[in-house]
Amino acid sequence: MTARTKRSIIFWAVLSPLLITILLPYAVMVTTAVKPREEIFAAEVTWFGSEIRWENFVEMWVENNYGSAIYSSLYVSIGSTLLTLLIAIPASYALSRFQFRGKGVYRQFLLITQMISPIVLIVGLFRVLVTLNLVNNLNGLIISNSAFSLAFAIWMLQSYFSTIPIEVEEASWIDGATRFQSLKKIFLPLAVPSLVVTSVFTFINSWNEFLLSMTLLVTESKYPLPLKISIMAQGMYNLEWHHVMAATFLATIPVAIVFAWLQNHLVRGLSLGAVK
Amino acid sequence: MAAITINNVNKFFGSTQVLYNNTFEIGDGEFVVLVGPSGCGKTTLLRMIAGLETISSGEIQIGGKVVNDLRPRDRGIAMVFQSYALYPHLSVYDNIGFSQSLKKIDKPTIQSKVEKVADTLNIRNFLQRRPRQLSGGQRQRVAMGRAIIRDPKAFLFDEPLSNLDAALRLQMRTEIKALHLRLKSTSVYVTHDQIEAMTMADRIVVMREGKIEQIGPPLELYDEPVNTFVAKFIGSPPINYFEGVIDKKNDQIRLKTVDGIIFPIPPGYELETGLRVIYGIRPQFLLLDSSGQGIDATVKVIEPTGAETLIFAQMGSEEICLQLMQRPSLKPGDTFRFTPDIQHAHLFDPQTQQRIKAE
Repeated sequence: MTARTKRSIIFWAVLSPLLITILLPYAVMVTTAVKPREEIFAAEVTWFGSEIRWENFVEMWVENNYGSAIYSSLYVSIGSTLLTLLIAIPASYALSRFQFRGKGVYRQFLLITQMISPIVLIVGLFRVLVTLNLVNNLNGLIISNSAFSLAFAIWMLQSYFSTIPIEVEEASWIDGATRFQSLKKIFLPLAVPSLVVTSVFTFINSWNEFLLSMTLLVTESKYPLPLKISIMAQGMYNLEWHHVMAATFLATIPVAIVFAWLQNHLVRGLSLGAVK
Repeated sequence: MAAITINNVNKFFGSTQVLYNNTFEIGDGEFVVLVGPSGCGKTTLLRMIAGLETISSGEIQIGGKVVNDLRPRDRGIAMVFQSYALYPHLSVYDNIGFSQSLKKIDKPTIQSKVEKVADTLNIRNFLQRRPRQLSGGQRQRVAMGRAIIRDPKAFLFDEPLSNLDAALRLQMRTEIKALHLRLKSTSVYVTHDQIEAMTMADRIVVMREGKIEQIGPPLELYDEPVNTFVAKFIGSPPINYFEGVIDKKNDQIRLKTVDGIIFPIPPGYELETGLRVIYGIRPQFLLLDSSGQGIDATVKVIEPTGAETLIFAQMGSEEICLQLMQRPSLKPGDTFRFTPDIQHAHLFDPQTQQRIKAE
């Protein structure tokens, strides 16, 4: 047995408990989602039930108006991602390319605000949104989510933007491009890895977001997925675990897809931006 | 093609001044090289012509039009960057055609233009490749193609050969010059390499610390440098300098170095005895002497380049360099004698560093 093989075995042995801790809940969720209801708390605990009951998903969807939750989640996540990008790209470009008074202070500000937990700000935020008449409004949620993601987004983008050589932009200006054309045709295509990373992070943060949704939304039909599932898991008389698990399982799919699809870009974007 | 006028141009970065009252003209179709040590301001001046840096004071004209307030794209210039600055995500074809596509020229016209430029530069076979798939020399040609296709009023080059190896640099140097002769293009070329300047320029502008030291055709700068800096900067290996005082013997003035070595002075100078001067003579004008007269020196290093031999020697307290066309059988530590070809000696004033002209 080579030293390398020995090391592999040791690493696997040490990391296995961690792996199990991470994967077990997911495995339980998936298997419970497809189990017949009667067999979840049976005396004999088994991984798989007597059959794979796909009907659980359909039942769950219909009984709980799952579709509206998916719509809300998608609407808010995509909306806040787009809004974040819309604001962060110009901000990062300015930080990366221009000199201006207060630049250093601004960068400190971005760094420090990331350390503040949303919980601390929730009361103030609620009041602001009341004034703007955006409580119980998905758009209010978009604005709030975006606001919390901005500092990270600007920081990430700015550090990557600084790695794009300015000569390439200068060459395009000499070639006849306006600043905007240069941004669109030359700069942004080169910035894509960082844009992807930022979008993914903002999307996932928004998708998983619970506190703001709970505080700002009143109408149950507007609830996004985390909120909807938490309600399902609070059943007073009978808690339909198989439905809860089915709902949770479905909720993880978009994130999994996004990650799988953008893996390559993600690694590149993270490593290139992080080194600065 | 157009002429370029630089008129009393100054440049400040914050409170630091980097260019001082630069004034000169570049004629229509002329190839002018801005040369000088790092930090002398040559690239800054080039970027000010391009419009990538603002002009603190003074005026720049291109084709008779003042361009101070014009953006780069409105100045009618094209630039080749030191790092080529090709668009990494576009093919060579799209890199070259980018400027044309911005003008909304129709695709067939763009295609014929790009292909024509590619043929001129011998890069027709790479049109579909990306810049990262090209070698340094190929990338450089693409950068030039991108400039040529715009049919600009003037070409600006920012040290385009610095990133190439020696052999390629030599080849591209000739190609750039050949292209210039064919296109009859007004060109402003920045380099720190005086050999590039000498071989390529119609006229050279020698700069130091933001000021222009001398402007003129290469051989004029070589034969008649205006001060010690220009004399030392132009020419490789660099000129030899000895400090000394004017001495007189038998009505003949000559130089006596700090070690007491006597150097003859060319005729035509009227100088007072005791006057301190700097004697400058280029390495190829120090000749080996076999007649027994001449000045003693001891060999330190011998560098045979094949076509010639460079001898670095110690003469008293001074180090000198000789550039000989022959291959003497000398080794480090040997002593030899040499005489200067006084027709080509220069005298400089140690206070002002200016060349003293013969009457």
